[in-house]
Amino acid sequence: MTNPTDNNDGQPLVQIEGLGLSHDRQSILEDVNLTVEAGDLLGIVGPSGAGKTTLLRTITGTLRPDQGSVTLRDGLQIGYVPQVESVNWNFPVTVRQCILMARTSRRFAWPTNAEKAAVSEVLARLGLDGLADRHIRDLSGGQQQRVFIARALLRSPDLLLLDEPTSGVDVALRHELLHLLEELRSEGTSIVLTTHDLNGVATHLPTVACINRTIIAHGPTSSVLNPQTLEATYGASMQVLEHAGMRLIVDSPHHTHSPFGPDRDALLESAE
Amino acid sequence: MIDELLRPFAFEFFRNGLIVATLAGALCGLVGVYIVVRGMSYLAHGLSHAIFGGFAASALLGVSFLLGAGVWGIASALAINSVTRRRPIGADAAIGVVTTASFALGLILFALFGHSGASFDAALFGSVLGVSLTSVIVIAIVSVVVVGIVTFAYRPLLFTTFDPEVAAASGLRTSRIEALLMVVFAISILVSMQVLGVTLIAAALVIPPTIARLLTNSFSQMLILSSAIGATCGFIGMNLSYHLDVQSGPGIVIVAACAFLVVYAIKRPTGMQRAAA
Repeated sequence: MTNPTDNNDGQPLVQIEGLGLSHDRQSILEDVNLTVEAGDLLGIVGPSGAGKTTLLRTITGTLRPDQGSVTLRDGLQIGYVPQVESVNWNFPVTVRQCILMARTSRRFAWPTNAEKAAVSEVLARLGLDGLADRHIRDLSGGQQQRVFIARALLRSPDLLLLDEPTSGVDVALRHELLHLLEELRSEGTSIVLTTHDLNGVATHLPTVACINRTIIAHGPTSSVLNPQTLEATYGASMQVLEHAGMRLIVDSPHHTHSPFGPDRDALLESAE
Repeated sequence: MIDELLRPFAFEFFRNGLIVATLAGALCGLVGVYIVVRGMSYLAHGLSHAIFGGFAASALLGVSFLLGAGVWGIASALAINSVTRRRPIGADAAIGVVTTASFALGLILFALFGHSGASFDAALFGSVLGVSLTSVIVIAIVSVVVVGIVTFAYRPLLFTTFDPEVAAASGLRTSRIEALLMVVFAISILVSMQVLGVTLIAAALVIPPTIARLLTNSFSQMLILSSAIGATCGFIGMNLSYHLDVQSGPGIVIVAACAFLVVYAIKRPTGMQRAAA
């Protein structure tokens, strides 16, 4: 991981070049090239085991690539929101304590006045007023999700990374969450999220990257989400329908390939 | 009645033992919070048994118990931490391998070379006898240092304990913080072993935090409550052990267990807690 550059103007937030990573001799990522620009709201989609979370971890620096490089813009602040399924909901922590733990520049338990103000502000921003002293388990699913976004936002990140934020949430909550991310992006926070929710991506996200160990396609959602790219990514035939100005992705009952089988190279070529 | 209750305070060994038991209760209650919330209660049991190996070796070699068992305990704690982090096995398996091997070695050393030095029973079950002023000073110093660490590194310790992946992504050196916690566990167990004993110290590390968890949803309050409960159990248990003429370890643990039963009976779980269970 390198942090070069003297001038941030025009430099991407994240530049991934030739990234390769394996675990127990099994390749997880191969020759991944991806750029995250300031102002991006990027969805990373792909099948389970495609390397989506691993890719996020290489950006945060918790995983080191075996090959290639991940270059972050100098001084880039990253906020990371984990999958809510990974949270220990019985852990004795209130909403305030959960959010404040991200402020690692201060080590004591008790917050400064500035920190108290920052916590109040971020809670109000995310519609969590009055919940600061609640236990994290005693919240609705949407509130729980927003607590972890609030924790990441308290670090005033340039780039917000979210791992499967739409996983296990109902339609209303997904809608609310994706609108919130659009708002955050309009306020200047760049966002990268991983998801299985192709229709949520098609409706809300302007850019998408399809991944299956390597980046199969990256660009505007309207051009990337096509049947060829989706088949190359998932190994399953899908149809992309236009309805009332929206794109809908539906499974096709026919013509299924394995994403790891002999058809993969041909599918990759057709996607290109 | 009052005279009878105050009678043991006339003895210096008892006063020293009482101070050590109270401080050990508070110390174990404090560090035990980090063990219980991680779901690593087995660590408390295992690490105390590992230190027993060092206890046996130091007794046989004639070196200071604190030095021998301390080095042994810290090495065991770091070995558990290292094995857990670097190999695809769970913490419980790592604890099981490292600590039972160390305990077995201690038993073999005692069996082969006899019980020279400290008493075997005292090591296993704790003893108020032989608690010197040095023991009081050592546990007081360790308590101050541990309270200092928990206070000055509150957020990094909490973040790493609650959410190690995001803590690492936020720039914290979680492997160092976890190693520090393991060393704190080992040293706390080491200085508390004399009055609590190898076999029962796990209770002092687990029961007070468990009671505190039933009483609060706040991490900082849990740290304070657990320390206070541990100190109270240490104080009452030590008095109880004198009056019943039993070892100090069982006296302290039975008081803590009774406190748990009372709180457990009073604090009925809420609907959401039942659902989460």
